[in-house]
Amino acid sequence: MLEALSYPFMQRALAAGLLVGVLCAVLSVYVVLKRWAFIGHGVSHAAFGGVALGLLLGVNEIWTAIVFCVAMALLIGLTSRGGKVSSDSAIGIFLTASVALGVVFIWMRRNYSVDVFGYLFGNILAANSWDLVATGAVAAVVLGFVSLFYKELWCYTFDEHMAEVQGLPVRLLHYGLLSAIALTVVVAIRAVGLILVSALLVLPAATARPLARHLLDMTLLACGVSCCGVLSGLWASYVYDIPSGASIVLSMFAMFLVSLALAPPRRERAE
Amino acid sequence: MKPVEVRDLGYSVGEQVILEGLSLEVGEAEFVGLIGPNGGGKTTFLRILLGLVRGWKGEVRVFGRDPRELGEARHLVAYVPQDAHDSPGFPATARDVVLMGRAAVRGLGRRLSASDRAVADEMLDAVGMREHADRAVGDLSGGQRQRVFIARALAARPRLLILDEPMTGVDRAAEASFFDLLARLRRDMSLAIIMASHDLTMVSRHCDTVACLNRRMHCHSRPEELDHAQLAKLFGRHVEFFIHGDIPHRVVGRHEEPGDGGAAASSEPRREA
Repeated sequence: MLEALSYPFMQRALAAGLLVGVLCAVLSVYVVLKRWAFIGHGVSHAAFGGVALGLLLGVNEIWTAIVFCVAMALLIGLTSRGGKVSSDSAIGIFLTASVALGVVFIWMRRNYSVDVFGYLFGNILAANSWDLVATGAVAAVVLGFVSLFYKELWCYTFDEHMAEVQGLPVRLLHYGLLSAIALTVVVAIRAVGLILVSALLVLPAATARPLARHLLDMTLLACGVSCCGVLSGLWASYVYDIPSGASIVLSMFAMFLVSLALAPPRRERAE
Repeated sequence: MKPVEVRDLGYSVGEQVILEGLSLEVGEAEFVGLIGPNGGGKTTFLRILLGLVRGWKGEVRVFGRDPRELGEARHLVAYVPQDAHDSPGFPATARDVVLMGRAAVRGLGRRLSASDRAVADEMLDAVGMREHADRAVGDLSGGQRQRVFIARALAARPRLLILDEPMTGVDRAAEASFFDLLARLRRDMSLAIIMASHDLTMVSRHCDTVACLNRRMHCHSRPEELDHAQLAKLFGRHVEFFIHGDIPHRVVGRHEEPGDGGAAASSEPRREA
């Protein structure tokens, strides 16, 4: 593995992977505690429409994917706050509509090239300098948002209704968090692909949750899990020549199983 | 300045009238019990006081201000909801939950400090939960969790505490000590309290004023004198008593309005199957 790190493409892959790992881990805490796993799934699939539109128009697909993902996240946010359609139905509808649009855009391009496969399943070893810059910029925005509003997000995640009564800006927190997820999904597509990115938004926090007593413990533990998953996944990908996205997700899944086994049994309440 | 002044409050959703002609004044350190049937408008009324509902008519003042525009005075009003958060796996201790009550006081984007932690411990002491400060909130019993949520509400040092059906899921023994706690907090902190409840016996025993709300509101300033016969008069002909096991649970009908006629009211207990 150390020998592999002498290659620039491997160094970029490692840096991009760790950045994406930390980003996804931090957001996974809120995704898990707010039971938003399906939202992560919906937003990541919305990226397919955006990527396909970028390929059709010949523009950098990261921009079109950002537009699609943020629009998806905000639509989900609107419906989950008293819209006419239930939140899970809305996600199912927008997700499939976006994928269908993506199929039409790819068909219009009349060229089923292998790069679409890369977006679906990821190829972190192909990360270039531009990917690193984009990931770094998103990391600065998302981690800045989370650290600036850490205590507000803490209250909002625990009890949104009470946070509103306290006078905390719950709309800002709600849409800010959804937009942060959308941006993160876009830069994580390179690492694990849009099919598997939602796993990175669930597994780190789900692994950390049974072992943590405070939100900060859970966040740090989730970051540790995610970084270990990226490192071991990349190692397995290099040594056994298996797809990097799948090996990263499977590494995290293995850690999740270990966490389940180690988790103390939930105590009975003294009623 | 009185904590609450309401005059001729009305609120409708479409054609449905939820509240009509409500008037109520709550003085400093006054304890008002709000009773009425499900769907009678109790929670809506409390949400109006909290500034969470718009589109009402009439005049509502909370510490002299429109509740929708309380601004910095918002921390003077604290709220304990009906369904005190119940998430066994949430990574938070009892102290963490009380600290959350300091979030809005500290200001947007600013970190909680040692003084906030001191206030949290003081409030845990006030509700008798200091020894459980480091326990996960999900491991606490219903009564203990209720106390932690009251400590959280008090952490902002409010002058008005609004409780919506706080006895849900709390056993009879915890209920008695809960009212002792409210009486002590009220005395020590000059706290005005509005508490929505189904339990008329407990409310009439502990509150200064009982406000009966079923679309309209009727206030009674000597609740301790209410007996079954008076209750029958008070609630009109639809008064019924439902008894579930050991916990009496009353559902009351609408008030008799002038001109409704004097149909006899039933005050006989009825045991529900």
